[in-house]
Amino acid sequence: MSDTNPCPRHACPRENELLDALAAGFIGEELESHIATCAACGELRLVAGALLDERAQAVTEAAPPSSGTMLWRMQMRRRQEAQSAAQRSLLIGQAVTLAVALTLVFTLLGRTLAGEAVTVIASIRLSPPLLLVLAIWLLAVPIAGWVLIRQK
Amino acid sequence: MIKGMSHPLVILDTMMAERHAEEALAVMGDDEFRAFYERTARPLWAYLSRISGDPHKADDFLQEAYYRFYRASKRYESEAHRRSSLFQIATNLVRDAARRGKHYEEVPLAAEEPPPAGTVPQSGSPSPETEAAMRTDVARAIRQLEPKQRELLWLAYAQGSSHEEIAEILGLSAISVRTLLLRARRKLAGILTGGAR
Repeated sequence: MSDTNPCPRHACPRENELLDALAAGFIGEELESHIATCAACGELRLVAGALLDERAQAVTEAAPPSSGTMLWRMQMRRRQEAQSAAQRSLLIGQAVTLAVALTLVFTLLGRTLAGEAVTVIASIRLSPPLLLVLAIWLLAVPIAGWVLIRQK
Repeated sequence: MIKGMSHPLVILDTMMAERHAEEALAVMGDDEFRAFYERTARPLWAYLSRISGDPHKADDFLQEAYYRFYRASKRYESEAHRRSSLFQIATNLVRDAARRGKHYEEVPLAAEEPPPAGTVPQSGSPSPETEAAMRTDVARAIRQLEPKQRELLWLAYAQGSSHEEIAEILGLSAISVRTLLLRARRKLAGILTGGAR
């Protein structure tokens, strides 16, 4: 291949050969003379050569933790995540249990309690604004609690 | 509320999760993981440092990438496939971080001065005096590229990945890789030679 196109629109078939030579750090005479006449290979040499140098530099800069340290950190993190997940499921389980227990209590003692509750509520004399505040508070507290748990 | 760790259910759940982790390690044992880490940590750090443009962030990205890789605990057909998966996780981490907080360091072209004459690698070995300056210019030139171009060029020419591997890592088709790579290469060559292509 000996085209002298200054703007390489297409890749040259010898590019892989050039990449291998660059990686090996040695470019033969014949390939060298090809590069001098091939715009694509000239461009590839410029770019790949610069990037290979940059990689060599970056690899010497790298100071990753040892494999043992990394493995230990990952195992610790995995364990912490497992504990958090377990606590979450326990919380959900407890909430469900509480809900079931309350349902059972109200089902078994519902009529008696309801009758007494109606009597108690009827005996309370509250002004409508105060009742409204009480109703809002009763609604807001469980929602706020739920939001707090979600944030945690 | 019952205190977390003392509850038998929590202990049971934790034990099950740990067993799952052990099963994951059975897919890739401790020694195998360590060997894989030894082979890949430095090249991965180099990749992360250059595509993010921030060597300090590269440490965090590295740790997170290995953790996600470890947690995914998949079986891989080959070493190359496993490696591609790790680089894919790492690439996505940097992209996500960039989306959230702009961790890609981009240098606008207009603000950049062209590299001094003689510092660009043209042919043959550069003189020792110009090597340090050349490295700075290459690093600066890389930062002028678009993030995807950095990823493509680094994987293809610094990492030596095949087009298929690059396609897998970057989530592109192999045909797109060829075209985009040629375009990115031309752009970097233009920056390195100080001209606009």
